[in-house]
Amino acid sequence: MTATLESEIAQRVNRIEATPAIPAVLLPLLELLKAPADQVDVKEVVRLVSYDNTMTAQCLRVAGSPLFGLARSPESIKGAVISLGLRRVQTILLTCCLGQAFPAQKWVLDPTVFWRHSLGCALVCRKFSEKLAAADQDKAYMAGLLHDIGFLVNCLVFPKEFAVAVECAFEEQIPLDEAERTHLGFTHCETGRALAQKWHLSDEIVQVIAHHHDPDLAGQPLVALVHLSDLLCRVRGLGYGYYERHKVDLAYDPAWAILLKEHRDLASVDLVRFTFELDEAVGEIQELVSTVFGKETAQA
Amino acid sequence: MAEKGKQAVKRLRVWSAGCSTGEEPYTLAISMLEESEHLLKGWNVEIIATDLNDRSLETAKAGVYGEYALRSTSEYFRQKYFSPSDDNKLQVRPEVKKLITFSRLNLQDDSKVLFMKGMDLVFCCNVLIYFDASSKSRVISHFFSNLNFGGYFFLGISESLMKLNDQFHLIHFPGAIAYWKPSLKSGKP
Repeated sequence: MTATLESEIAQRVNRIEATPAIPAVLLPLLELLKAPADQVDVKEVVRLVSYDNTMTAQCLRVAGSPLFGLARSPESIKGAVISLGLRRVQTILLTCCLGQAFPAQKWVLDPTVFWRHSLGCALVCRKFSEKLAAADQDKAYMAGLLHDIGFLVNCLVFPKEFAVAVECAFEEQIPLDEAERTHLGFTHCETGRALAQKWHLSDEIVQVIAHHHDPDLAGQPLVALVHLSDLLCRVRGLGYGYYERHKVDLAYDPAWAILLKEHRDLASVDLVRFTFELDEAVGEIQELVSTVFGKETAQA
Repeated sequence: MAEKGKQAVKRLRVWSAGCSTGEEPYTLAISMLEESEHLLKGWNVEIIATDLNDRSLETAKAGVYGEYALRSTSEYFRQKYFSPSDDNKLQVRPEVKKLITFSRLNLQDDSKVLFMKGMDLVFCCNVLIYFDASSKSRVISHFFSNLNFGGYFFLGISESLMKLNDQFHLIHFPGAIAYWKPSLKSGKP
């Protein structure tokens, strides 16, 4: 990517700030999330969230989803923290914040489909890392949720150019990033990185956003994990809502070797069983998406 | 298919191992016929369907099915590939049957299984669940050697080769999972 293109992306990304829909709590919350779990100010988190009634209600609903492990919605954010743990609740809050962050009317991609993929990928990342003893499940979830954030940037600041790329991908049944490269000259990885840096996300997450399509460049296990989960989502009905003509050989993907180097127990993960577990969760993911990113939310 | 299309002889050999009463090979044959004007234009398709049970094979050869077996078959396929038979049943048309050879085979009979060479696709759905671990491994290694390089092996839903075979590559297609025997040249499917 040339320097001019890079500064053009940065300039346009800077204008996103003017978007009114970003909830006031998002950026402070992201800042709080960077601290190690034992140093996070729980009171501050609860106070931040309680400013926004809609979001509080939504978070409690999400906490009650089977995918987050509670049989019933907790009655308060504090209650959720007690039963789910602070870090899990943070991931829920972040999910809800993002749901409100982007205005729906400007979308080139169908927002429901986009969130279904992001949330699906987040949950697959978490599920995947549950199988790996040494992996950080909540960090994996965050990484999965945010990996494609660049698509939102494209929708907001390159709507015309991105629309051409999306149409081409749908028609030719090719991956979106390939179509972006042809029609934009850059991908959501670059625009996503610009936004992630602007938001001061942690370096690990920036790496995931920038390199989830070329994990060997980053060489980091978290990037590799997101790459594999993304591929798996796209062949099991959690892609971008169109038929993508591709086949995936996960265990022979370069990302597999990167992940295996860090987590030897990856070798004993039965990918077929894992895939069927994912299939069973698809309905619940769909339900969660409408809870968090449904129509009312988009208009709020 | 694209890879296979480069070959001079356009021949596709498919094995339905444990075909029971024939639903699987007929479905395969119909899918192949549907593609005969597109992907498989000019191809010679041959389906070999085997089972251990003589009675199942008789039913399979007859190709007459009632409402239950056809519960998810659309009107389009019923009209195109079936003709009416007694008792409101439907019979598979001759042009579909023509693609399939039915024969009796015990998958545990190593010497006979060895003869099933040169396959491009092998389907063995919900059969291996009845086998013990060592028989499973042996049958699967036969499937592997019977397949052509670059060929695919399909198992039933939720069946896995985990801990049984590490020569196959597990390949995810949109909505389907298959096991692939790597080609000699490239390590990529």
